[in-house]
Order: sequence, then C-alpha cells, then structure tokens
Amino acid sequence: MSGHGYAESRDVVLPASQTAGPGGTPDWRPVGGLRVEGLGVALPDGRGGHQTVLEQVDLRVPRGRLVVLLGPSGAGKSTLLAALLGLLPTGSLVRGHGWWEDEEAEPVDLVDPGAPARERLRGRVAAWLPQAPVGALTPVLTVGHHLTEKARVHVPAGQVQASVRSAMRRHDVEPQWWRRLPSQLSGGQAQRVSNALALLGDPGLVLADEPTTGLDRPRARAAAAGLTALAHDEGRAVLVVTHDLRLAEEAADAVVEIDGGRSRGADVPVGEVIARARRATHRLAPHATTGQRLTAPGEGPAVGGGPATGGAPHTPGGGPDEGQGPGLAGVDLTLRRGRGTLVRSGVTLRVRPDRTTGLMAPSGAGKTTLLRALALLHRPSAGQVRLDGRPVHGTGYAVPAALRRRIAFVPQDPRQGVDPRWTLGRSLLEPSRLAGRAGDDTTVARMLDRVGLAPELAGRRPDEVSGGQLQRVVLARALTLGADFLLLDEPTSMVDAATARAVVRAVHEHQHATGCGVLVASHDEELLRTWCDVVVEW
Amino acid sequence: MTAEGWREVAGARSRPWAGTRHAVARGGSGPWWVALGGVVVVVLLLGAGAADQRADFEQAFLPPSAEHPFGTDQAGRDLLARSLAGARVSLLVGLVAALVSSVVGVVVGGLAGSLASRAGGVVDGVLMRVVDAVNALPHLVLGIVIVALLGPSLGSVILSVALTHWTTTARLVRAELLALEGVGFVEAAVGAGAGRWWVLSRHLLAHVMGRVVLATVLMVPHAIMHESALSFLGLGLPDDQASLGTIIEQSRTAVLAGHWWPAVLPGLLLVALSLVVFVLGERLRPVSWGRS
Amino acid sequence: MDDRRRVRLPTRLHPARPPLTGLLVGRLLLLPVLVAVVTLVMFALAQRTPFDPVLATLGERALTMDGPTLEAMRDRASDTGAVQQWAAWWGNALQGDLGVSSSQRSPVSTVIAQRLPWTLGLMSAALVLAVLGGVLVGGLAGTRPGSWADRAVGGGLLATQAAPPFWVGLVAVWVFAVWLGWLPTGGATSPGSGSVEALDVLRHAVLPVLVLALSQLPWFGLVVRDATRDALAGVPVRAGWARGIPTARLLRQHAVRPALLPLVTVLGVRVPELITGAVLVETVFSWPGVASATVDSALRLDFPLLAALTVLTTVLVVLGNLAADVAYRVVDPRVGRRDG
Repeated sequence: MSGHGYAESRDVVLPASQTAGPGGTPDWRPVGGLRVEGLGVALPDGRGGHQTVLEQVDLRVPRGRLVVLLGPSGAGKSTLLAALLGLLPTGSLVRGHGWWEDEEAEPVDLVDPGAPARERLRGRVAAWLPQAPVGALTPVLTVGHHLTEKARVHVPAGQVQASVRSAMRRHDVEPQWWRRLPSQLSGGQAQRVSNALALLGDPGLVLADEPTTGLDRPRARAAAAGLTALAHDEGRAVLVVTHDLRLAEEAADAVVEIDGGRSRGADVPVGEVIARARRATHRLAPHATTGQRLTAPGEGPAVGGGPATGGAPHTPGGGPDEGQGPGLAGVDLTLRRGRGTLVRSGVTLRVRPDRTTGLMAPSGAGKTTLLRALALLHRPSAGQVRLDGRPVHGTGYAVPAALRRRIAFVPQDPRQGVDPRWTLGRSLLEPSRLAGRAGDDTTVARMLDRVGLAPELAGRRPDEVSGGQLQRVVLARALTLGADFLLLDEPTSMVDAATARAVVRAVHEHQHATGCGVLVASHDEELLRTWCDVVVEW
Repeated sequence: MTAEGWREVAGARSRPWAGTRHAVARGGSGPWWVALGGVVVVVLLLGAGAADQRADFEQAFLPPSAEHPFGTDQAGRDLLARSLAGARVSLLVGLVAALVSSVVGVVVGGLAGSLASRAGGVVDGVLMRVVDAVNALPHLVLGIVIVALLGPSLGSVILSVALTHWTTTARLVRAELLALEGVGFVEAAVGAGAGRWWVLSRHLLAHVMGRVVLATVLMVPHAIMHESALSFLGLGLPDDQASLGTIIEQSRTAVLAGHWWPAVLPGLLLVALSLVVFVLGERLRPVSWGRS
Repeated sequence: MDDRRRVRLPTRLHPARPPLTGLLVGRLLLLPVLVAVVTLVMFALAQRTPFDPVLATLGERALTMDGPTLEAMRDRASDTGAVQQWAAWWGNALQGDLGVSSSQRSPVSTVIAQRLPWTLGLMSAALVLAVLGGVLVGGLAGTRPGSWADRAVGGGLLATQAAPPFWVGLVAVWVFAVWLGWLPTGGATSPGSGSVEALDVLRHAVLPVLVLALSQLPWFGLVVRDATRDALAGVPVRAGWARGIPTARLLRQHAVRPALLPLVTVLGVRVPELITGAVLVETVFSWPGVASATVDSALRLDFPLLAALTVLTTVLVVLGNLAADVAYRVVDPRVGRRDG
C-alpha cells in the first residue's frame, strides 16, 4: 500500500519538495511506521460522564511517507495526536491501538504502552510539532536552555553540544537566538526552534498539528515543504492533522479523512479524497438554484455572477466610487487592534444588497477587526464606514438605534454571544422586544426551526447546549433582526459539517427572502468560492 | 479488534499535570458549607453568649474546666461567654463595615466603569486616582490614623474599616463593567438597538451583583481582622463592647504570668470565625459566577 | 477571541512600549502630590479632635516655649485654618524640622532616625524568610495538585492566613519565652546591657522575625502554588513531557520556575501588608521600631509624630509599588511589549 500512495503523490506534490527523484535511491529503507487500528477516544465531559470524540480511526503512516489527516475543527484530530503522545486529559477512555513498528524492535502500542514503557518511550519515538510553537515553549527559559535540556536527556553527555549544534544547523536556528526567551521570537523563528527541539534525538515519528495555521501562502508552502523533507529525505513517518485542503494537496502521500469520529479514505488516492472533500464543501452552497439573483437591483456591471476572485472594485484600496453605491462600505479604513497595533490600512470593501461577499484571509489577518468596524463596534483609526453612501459616525451607543438594526454581526465564538443567565428563548426574543414587537413561544419555535433546531431548546440555558447549537441560536437571533446587512465571522470554523450545512442553508434562505447583503469572512477558501458571489482575498 | 471495550490508559493518572483539572474544578460540597457557615453566623448574631459576664475577682484566672470551658479572665469572668459575645461584636462590625465599603465601592466603581468611555474618561481617571491614593496607604496605618483622629468608638472603627476596604470592590465593579462592554451578548443587544439603560438593567447588573455579593462576603474576614487588630492596639472598642481583639489585648499580661488560656482560646475562636466566613465565601464563588 | 489572541505573536518584537523612565518620572511626580493630600486631610480632621496640631506647626521651637506662650499660640491657631497649619508644618518639614514628639519627648527626626533601622531590619529579615518558605511549600503543593500534600499545605496556609499576627505572637511568647524559657519575651536588647550586642539582638529578634514571616508566608505560598498549578496545566509542561524531560526536572524548571515570576513582581505590592504586620508584631514584642511608635503616637495624641510616620509609610508604599512595576518589566520581557 505504501508504494501505491507514494506513486499517487507524484501528481500533487510540488516540484520544490521533490528531492528524491523517481529514479534515485533514498538512503533510508521504508521499514516500519505507525499503524493505528480501531482507535477510539472518549474524553471526560466534566460532569462525570464521557463524550466520545473518536469512534473508530484506522490509518497507516509508513516511514518515509507524509500522511495528512483531514477534518474540520473539532473533529478530534488533535485528540488523536494527544492519544498517541500520551497527553490525553486525565480520566479519558481509549480503545484500539496505535502500533509503532520499527525494524528490529517489538511493536509498541503508543496509545497505551504501560507506565514503565511510556517512561522509556516519551521523547524518543514521537516528535510533537504543536499548533502554536511559541505557546508550547516554557516562557521563562531561553532557547539554549530548551535545546540543551532535551539533548541531555537523549544524548550521551559528551555529545550534547555537538548534537545541539547540528540540530540548530539543520533547522536554521540562528546562534544569536540562543539567549532569547520564547516571547522574543517571531512566529517563524519559534517554529524553527520548536522543530529543532522536537527532532533532537532523532525520533522516527513526527506528529504535526495544523502546521499552516496563521501562515500566508508562501510561508504555508515552505512549512509543507519542510514536512515533506522530513518524510522523503530523512525517512521519518510524518502524520499531519489539518483542515487545510491545500496543504493536503501539496504535501500528502496519502490523505485520511475524519468526520464524526471515524476515518475514511485510507486506501483511496490523494486526488480522489481531495476531490471528494471539495465536493462536500460545494454541497454547502446551494448555488445552482440562485441564478436569478444576478439581476438584483444595485448590481454593478463590473462584477460577474458566480465564483470569482478579487473582482477589481473590491480589492483593498479600490476606487473612490466604492463607498457611493447602495450597500455597507468601508472606505480607506485604517484598522488598529487594542492599544494600537496596526492591522491594516487602506482597506476598502463594499457589501452589496442581495449579494454574498466573501473575505478570505488566514487566521489572525484582522478579519474580525474589519467586520467589527463594519458592524459599528470598532472605531477605525482612519477612513469611513458608509451605509448606502452616507458616512456613519461613531460606534456602539453613539449610532442611532435604527441604523444599528440595519447591520447584524455574528461573531466567531458563540459562547459569549448570549447572556449565560438567560434562557435561549429569552435571548432570541431580545431583538423583537427592543424593536417593540411582541413575541411568544411560537415565534421562538419558528426562529429555531429556521436554523434546524428543535423548539425544546428555547427553555435551555447556554451551558446546556452544544457549541454547534449555540452557533445556530446566535445566527437565528441575528436573522430576526431583519437587518439589511449580515456580517458572519468564520461561521463554520467551530462546527461540524452538519452544522456548517445548516448555517449556510439558513443564511441562504434568509437572503433569498429578504435580499440582504451578506459578508462572510473565513480562511476556508473552498467554502468561500462555492458560497459567495465575490471573493476578496487578503 | 474494535469489539474491545473502553479502558483507561495505564499511568494516565500519574502524569505531572493529572491533578490540575480536578484541583480547579472541585467544590461539590458547596451547599453543605454554605449551610454550616450560615448557621454559625446566625447563631452568633442572635446572641449566643449573652450569658453571665459578672466580675468575680476570687475566680480570676481559673484554667479551663467543665464549668468554664475557656477558663476565666483577670476579673474572674467566664471567658467562653465573653469570647462569644466578643465574636458577635467582631462579626457585626465585620458585616456592617463590609456592607458599607461595598456600597461605596459599587457607587465609585459603577460611576467610573460606566463613564470610562464618555467625556474622555475624565471622571474615570479622577476616581481611579483616588482609588490608587487610598491603596497607597497601608490599611492598618490609615485605620489607626482615622480612629485616632475620630476617637475610639464602634462608629469610628466601622468607618475606619469601610474607608480602607472599598477600593477592592470599586476596582472589581469597574473592571467587570469594562470587560462586559465588549462581550458578545452585550454587543448583540447594542446592535439590536438597546440603549444604555436596557443593557445595564437587563444584562450588566445581574452579572456584576453576583461578583459584588461574593466580594462582600470575602471582605468580612478582612474586616474582622482589621477590627481585631485595631482593638488589640487599644484603638478599638471600649471594654463593655469588647471584641475578640480587645479580649486578646487584655490577656497580654496574663500570658507573661503563664496563663495561656485568655489569649489562646479566644484567638482560636477568631481564627475559626474568619475561616468559616472565608470558606463560606469561597463556596459561594461558583454560584456568584452564574452559569457562564 | 482566539483570533485576536493569536495574532499578537508576530507583533511582539515591535513594541509600543512606554519607556521605563516615563513610568519612574510619572510616579515620582505623583508622590509629593499624594503626600501633600494625605497630610492636608490629616490636618483637616485634627481640627475637631483632642489632637494638638499647634505643636506640629511650631516645630522644634515648641521645646523652648513656656506654657502661657503655647496657650497664646493655641488661641491664635484656633482662628487659623487647617490649611495654614498644614502649610506651616510643610514649611518646617522641608527645612528638616518635623516638630517634637510629645510621646517620645524628642524631635521627630531623631525618633525616626533611631527607630527606622530596627523596623527595616525586622521587615527585610521576615520578608526573606517568608519568600523562601512560600516558594518551598507553594512549589511542593503546586507540583502535586490534588494530593494530600497539596490539601494539607492549602488548608494550613489558609488557617495561617486567618490567624492574626498579634495572636500568633502572643502564643509564641507563651510557648518559647514563658513556658520553655528559651527566648526573651520582648524588646530588642537585654535591659542590663548598655551596648548593642549582635548575639543578644539576634536572640531577641528570633520570635518577632519568625512571627512576621509566618504572617506573610501564606500569601507567597498561595501565589506560588496557584501559579505552579497553572504552569503545570499549560501546554509547555505537556510539550516538555512529550520531549522526554525527566519528571523532577520538568516540575522544577517548567512548572515552579515560571511561577517565581509573578512572585518577584508582586513583592513590592506587599509592602502595605508588611507594614501592617510590623505594626502588630512590634507592638506584641515591644520592638523599638517606627511601626510601634505609630501606635504610641496615635494612643498618646502625638500629632507631629503621627503625621511624619504617615508620610513615611506612604512614601514606602509608593516606592514598593514602583519597585514592583520596575521588577515586572525587568524580569518579564513580555510585559510592555504587548498591545491590547
């Protein structure tokens, strides 16, 4: 099976990462690797019970191969890594195995090797590349301290210095960082330190958690190439968990999908898995039925129907006419975060009525700040927010209530979106009450139904429902507002595929009925391209 | 192979961090502690120890016995009755002082917090500088100065405690109000057209009051400490309103003569009282933080 | 939320950091204002009390005045307001004349010069012991969360915190001085000896220092315990464990050591509590420091001494806070580099 996966990868791996040519003989022998069989994990839910996160995961990562485990956030990808590393929360239950097979030695079960064996194994077999490298380093210890400390554990005393130096060379850790604390490193520097640290002592298995989070395209590509090299050039077994389809496409020798706690596609060629994942995202957006909206009033001729990238009038710094037409527009905005870090300047963006605009940017690029500025919650340092061509001044209370109601903002994290002391029904009725309309149980039931939730939820409190349900409740409340503009911040990033579909469908139906303008900010290119009329790329 | 049942990973409970989750999320016995603490407080306030406190100099410095479980003091008074009466005074002073300081704190913190984003934050700035200034003085020294200047009495002791302890509540209330300003559900209400009063009365008040009640309860042990320290220094209450601090102060010469009980036993009662109220407050913490 | 937090990382190297000197200058400018306000309030309050601010405004001249003159001065003073008296006091104070202490029968400046070293010695010795002890028990408890050791230390620290220092002092006097007879009951030197002998002072200092340290220890212990527990629950410890770092070293370097950071930075903030403790401990042990003199001056209506000592403590507390802020920036390079 390994040969098959390798051959498949030839089509998709970028030339840059191909170091061992098809005819060349690598200096490692592809023997052994990771074999996960029937792995299930149930995490304690904090109330004495357990919640099953992984039902049944089967996958193989032979040495010399890079396998991508693909799935949405919250699918249990990180839990899988934690299980292999022995880092599951106390009280977790497991079943199945994660065998590590090495040429000469007996296979060991990384999931549950027994306490004495774990003591021998940790740090020697598996290298963990955590999602946020800065946060995984101890803040009060220097880079040098971290490196020598690990070297002392794994290398005979006489070779500590030499092995640290060679690890630093191999992973481009510059000598002048030796005395720096983790907080004094940039994200990219910390990444390199973290890699050097994890691979010191030459572990055969590499477990990388979302390696491209927060990186722009070129840096994400470089990270992917680095991981490919670990597999193809150094002969390690590399398992990457991610939701980044592009990373899978560029780097994977094999792709395994995970959804609903089960793995799929272990033996299917990479291209097919990715194509299937694409189609699944396509299904999210019911575009086939919406051709008639292209003639909606206010439609500029410059913008064509259907998916398009970076239509000229929408690129940041676009023409001055951007703020003039109907719609919600930010004109030449300068956005700062907190006490003044510049996020971006010269941002111009218009949300047109009855159109869905996508804003694509990696996590941390300032999408939230822009959306909050457009929602009149955050004051831009410069530039204007215009509503149908007229500038709106101030934020929050300073804006007339009638204007505020025209814009609805749905934040990324629903957990603080509703008052934790209120029942969901009361929260749902708040906009109606504020608008002076009466509402009762049937109104609430109708609102819940619109987002695919049962009417019983009205009596529950926020801590009694799941994150996905809460997300839809927050959306339902935003829809009741009857706003002209709906701003969604990463609406599908924290939910499973089913909830994501429900969210997209509800927004779509609402837009169809009311003709409101929708702005979707996301890092998920697939979602935006299939859902939106126009996609603006940051 | 999948038919295998669930199992716990061997050695998972001996990971270095294994206890952290448990240690943070404890507190299942909350209602019991609250009930116990409540009973103690009510019994004390309702006047246990209102019994006989007559002086009888022939009975001076009797060691603890069945008749006098705490022994007797230099005037032959039963120390148990006197200590319970003292504990009631201490608790009363502590409660009233905590309440007064909370009221001051809520008013100042509420003003500062709700005006922080208005008029350039001038009011907020001034009020917070006052808080800094009061905090820049050691509480006991400030308390000594206040009592010394106003003369020792129940009122001045309460005032002294209240005037030095309100800053904690003020800071808390202000911080809560400011933090809630950017929270999702408040922004959602504002976005739906809510005015300041709507948000304050329907969202903020309930949230802030939970914290304030907790802070007030947790301030009571502080206030009791403060009062007893003042009384011990001779700046507190007169002999006929003796608090536990006064009783311990009066035992200083007795201790040098080897009579340990007039100091040790009332002191233990003071420690127990502070602990009961403190634990009561800690057990209330999850309740006051609401269902968030 | 998460989004906003994550983005800080790359921006840290380009700080919008308020300079340290700005902080120092700002605080040191605020200090005289604060001291002036505090004393003004004191003079205003003293108008309606048995205190005699006239003695304070006269300064050391009061020593040489006879009764009738003082009476005349008092009559005139009752006409002048608190502000004039306050101004006069500051006029003298800035020339080094803090007035005469009626309770100590000597100039206030002399009283302070004689007593301040005793207090500073007591406080610094107790602080060192309290920090060392706090780190020890806090680290012990924090690295074993939920264990019996953790619960015992936690309960013990809470009980110690609930025990007033004056009561602990009295119990210590009874046990070690009266019952066992090992140590003196109070004072700083033996009554017979005229000179100050190091060994004698040490014997006298044992109990006061220990009691003051014990009164401060719980707080340090609890801070270290909680911070250690937080560090233990964080990703770096898991990452270190996954790297194979031996457990003992992992606990020491990756859990307790990060916890010392908050401790160092809050030392200065504890100055008020330390002063409070010193007032009580000095009183119990008749330690000849400024803290017990504060109580004496209040009890004996000695306004000049009380005013001067209040100014002194205010200055100490402000400097302590300033030290905490400076330490925070020097020790933790992350502070002041972050936005928002």
